[in-house]
Amino acid sequence: MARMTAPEGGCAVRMYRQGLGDCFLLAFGAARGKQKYVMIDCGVLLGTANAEANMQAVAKDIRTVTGGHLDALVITHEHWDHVSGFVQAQQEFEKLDVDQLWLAWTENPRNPLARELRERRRMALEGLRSALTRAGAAPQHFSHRIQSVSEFFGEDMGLGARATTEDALDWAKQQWKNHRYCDPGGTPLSIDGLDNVRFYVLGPPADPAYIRKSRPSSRGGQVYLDDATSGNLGLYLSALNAAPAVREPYQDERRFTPFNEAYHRKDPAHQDVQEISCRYQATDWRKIDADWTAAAGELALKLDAHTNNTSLVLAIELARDDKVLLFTGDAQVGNWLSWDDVTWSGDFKELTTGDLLERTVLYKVGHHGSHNATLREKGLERMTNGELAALIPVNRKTAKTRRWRMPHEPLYERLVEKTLGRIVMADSGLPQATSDAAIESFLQQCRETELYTELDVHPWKPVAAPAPATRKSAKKKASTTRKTATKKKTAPRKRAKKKTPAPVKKVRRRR
Amino acid sequence: MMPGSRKDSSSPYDVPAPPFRRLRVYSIDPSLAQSLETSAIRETRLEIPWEDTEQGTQLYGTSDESERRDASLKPGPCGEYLEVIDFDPATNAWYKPVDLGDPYLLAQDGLSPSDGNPQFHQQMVYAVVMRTIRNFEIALGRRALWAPHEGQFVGQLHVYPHALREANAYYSPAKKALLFGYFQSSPVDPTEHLPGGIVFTCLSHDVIAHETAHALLDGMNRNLTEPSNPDVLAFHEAFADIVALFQHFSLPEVLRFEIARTRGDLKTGSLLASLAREFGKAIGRTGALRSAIGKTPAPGEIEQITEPHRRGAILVAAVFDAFLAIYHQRTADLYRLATEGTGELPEGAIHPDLVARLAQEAAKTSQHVLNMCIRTLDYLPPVDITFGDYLRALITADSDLVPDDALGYRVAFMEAFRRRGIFPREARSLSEESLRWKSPDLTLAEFEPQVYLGRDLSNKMRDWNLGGNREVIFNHLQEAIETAKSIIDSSRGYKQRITVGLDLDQFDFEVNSIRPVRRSGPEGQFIMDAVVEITQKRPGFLDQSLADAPKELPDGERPDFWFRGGCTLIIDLETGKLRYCIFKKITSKHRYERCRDYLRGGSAGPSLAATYFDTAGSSEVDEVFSFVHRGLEENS
Repeated sequence: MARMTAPEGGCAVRMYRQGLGDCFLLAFGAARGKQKYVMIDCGVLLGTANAEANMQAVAKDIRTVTGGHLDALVITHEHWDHVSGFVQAQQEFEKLDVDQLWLAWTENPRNPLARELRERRRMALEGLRSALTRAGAAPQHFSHRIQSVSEFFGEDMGLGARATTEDALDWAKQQWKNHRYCDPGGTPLSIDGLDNVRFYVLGPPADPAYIRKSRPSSRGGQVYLDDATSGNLGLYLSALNAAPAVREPYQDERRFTPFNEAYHRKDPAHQDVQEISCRYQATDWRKIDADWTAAAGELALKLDAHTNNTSLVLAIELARDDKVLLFTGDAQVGNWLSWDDVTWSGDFKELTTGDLLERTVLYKVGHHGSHNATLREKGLERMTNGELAALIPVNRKTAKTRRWRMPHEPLYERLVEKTLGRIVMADSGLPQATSDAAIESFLQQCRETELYTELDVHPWKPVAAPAPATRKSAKKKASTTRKTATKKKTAPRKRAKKKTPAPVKKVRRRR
Repeated sequence: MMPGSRKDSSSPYDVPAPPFRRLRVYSIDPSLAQSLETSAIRETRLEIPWEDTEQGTQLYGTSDESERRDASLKPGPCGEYLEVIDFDPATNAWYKPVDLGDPYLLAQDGLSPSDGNPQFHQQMVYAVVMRTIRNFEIALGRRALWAPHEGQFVGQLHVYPHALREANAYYSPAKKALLFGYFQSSPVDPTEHLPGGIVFTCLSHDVIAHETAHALLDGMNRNLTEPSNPDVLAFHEAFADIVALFQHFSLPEVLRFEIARTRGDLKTGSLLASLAREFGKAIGRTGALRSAIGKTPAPGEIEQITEPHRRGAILVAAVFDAFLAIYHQRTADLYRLATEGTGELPEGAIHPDLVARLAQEAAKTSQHVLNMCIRTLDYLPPVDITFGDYLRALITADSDLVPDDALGYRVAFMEAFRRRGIFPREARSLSEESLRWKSPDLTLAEFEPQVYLGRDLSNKMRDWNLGGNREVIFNHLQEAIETAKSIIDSSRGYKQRITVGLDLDQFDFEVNSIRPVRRSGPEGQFIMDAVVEITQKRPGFLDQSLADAPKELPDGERPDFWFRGGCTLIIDLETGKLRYCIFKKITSKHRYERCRDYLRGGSAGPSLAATYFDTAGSSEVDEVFSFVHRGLEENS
């Protein structure tokens, strides 16, 4: 099979159609026709039919079209629908070379905050498990809640042992040893041989000062937490701080009793409580034995939100001041809100998140299009570029059987407005061809097969635009500089590049 | 439970049964005891309608044999309305039930407040729930009934003071039970609350009253909980908060203390106007969980806020504003007297006599306002209620009872609601005239079907002893419901006229409840009404308009939601005349669209849970009445 190729200076984005889950392969057109490959996530929701076969087909395709080599692999966060492939298609992935594995800082075993966070996550999962056990055989209305959330962790809590997300992630980390734990801000990431393209890390939020400020003992942080819109960040931070909420209720009930033991009567037949316990036992439908475990439903939700908020968020810039592709993982509100506080160093000091969002032409819709993984005013509404297109890795049939609202209708409607219909969905594929010129030209950039949809993104500024001879030599010079340039020397090259007459688009944009 | 009314016991000393039992409780919550300033008012004695204990019944007997079973108060306390069952499933512990008939406890008004003694917890929930029930009974003029279970009478609400291990408490409609939780606190400021200390929601006056109000409301109208617009759940929360809030003013010690401290300005009286102080601090807030003293009214808020508790707070703030306005109206003369007309109180503490008089006025005003708010419940449409409906119902109910609004209560309410941007959707103007529900333009001709309905019902209901055994009342009402059903069903030709809002040709109907209303106004007039609620439902689909949606469901399918309509008929039992028909049309396209929009999240951001969990059908299985709904932080 032929290699996947991207236009020079541009990018091709392949969205696999394995079901409800994320798997993206990006090809970048480097100089002289070379291709660089980046894969973002690889998973499908637990309980998907033929999951293994689907994932193996995906993995096989990835191996074939990349020649068995990835320049970078990005795992956004630890949820089954983003990592299951590393378990389900291990044989294929074993044959894949990966230069770098990019993970969020929250996965870094050496980062104490990250360790604490993962510890909490484990405890919460533990809590969920014991809550389900305590709830017993009686079907409780929340059991299905826990169940459906736990599916994101690759655990079917009713069915005992299975591979978990942790296993999948651990395998990937074992397999490809060159790990890079990404903090937001600072210097953007890049790939050797692909100097123009920059990967800006926007999340997960990492500023420890931030986190310390919101500790319960400090008044300063409270203002932030009280801010009506920051709810989910509050949740995220409270997962880092307010351990008792997660730890206490489920760990060891015996240690924590609300009253002096002298008041306890363990035996309902004890003469002190016999009469009242008979009253209680008399009507089955009024018993409350398991109601207290219902809090686990909320715990499960929080856990899910926290984990989503640890998503590695990448804004991929094709070249300086050029198009941006936004991959948010499943980042929820809190993660989005923190982006404006991200600062860049060196050459990139001036760059703002608003600027990146403004230039975004491709948005990978977060969390399969759920309502809380795409921020409105501070997010989508700032993606004002007229070429904006959206990729939604969703399977509506699967979502519907679980009664999840994916994609969330108001969000979808707004996306349609903003993209003029340029939305690619994993289940239905490319948008219907219409007489609309916007769709028409968009479809010309797209391909689809049963296995994937693919979309070309051309840069605004052609890299090797046909130009008069004099300028060609200037360009050549620039490109030789580029070859030997280390990262720090990018500035002069930039300046040289800026001398080329800017296309109209750029002028409009920079106003 | 009308105190003293039917308890002519045969005591050897010829003394009637006591009208009240006094029980000691924390006046607001245990946090007051922890500060020197407020420790003087940490506890109070609530007067609860007397329920005879087994011993008492043995000694003196009761006059009415039919009441014997209900009237004896057993350890628990388990009485006529409640069974407090202290079982903590998480700890797997039972706690010995308190026996309020114990002579030592009788002699000292129950156990003294203590957060480490589960028996006191039982006593406190019992006292506060009973107190709340009594407030409802006084305002509504009938005995409180809990929602039936599968059509069967439910005599006692179950109360579990230690059922949950979380910062939460709720009324469970499925179990007819109040469940209270306890949790470890994580306060913002460790000097205000012991970090890691245990907080019991069953020791908070506000939480108990709030949940009891939910239970009482559910006993009146089961359909009101279906969230068909952003106001429905918000209304429930707001109403429960209003009940909890105004009960503060019935605590004389707290009231006097706060009036002395604030020199009569209730606006700054934080103890009175805030809800769940300890709870709020313990979960890491700077203040109480909710406060009725709204910021400056922002009419725009009502358009933006959709989370039930925060939206409900707008309604609570509006009612509290009205209360303050009425209080100022009522105390203007006192201030003139005390300040010799200057309006300026001298520096320092105000005279104790003035404190007493102001407290008296505040207590009276709050009782009036609370009564108004509760009475309004009988004048609401049976489904899909909005804040605007509530305002209209409130104005109508009050002007029925108090035709001459000399003190401007209704004006105060209309003004306060207007300033919060709460308008009825369909009223032409905000005058009392146009806010009142319209009396149907009906003649009293013999053959009018509504007269049949009214006359037959009034014949049936006129002679009931509404003070009697609650089970008997319940059965009477069930019979009346059957009667009403057959009357409506048999008067086929007239169906359309009897019931605005219904479409009897296409959909089944249900008579949800019939409630008798007996009360006397301040001018001595006596009102005796019956409230009849009739509803219909049809399947609704998120992706289909009303015209396209099938009228009946294919077998085995579930609709996305049930679209409901119906009417509340208020019938004068003296004449059998239909006084009001308050309706929501089942055929309304606009209402269907609004409902659909709301459920799709078009006009409201759904909660996190809504993404994963079925929203439309969830209310049937979920505990919708949690005091803090569990995802609180998400929206805080």
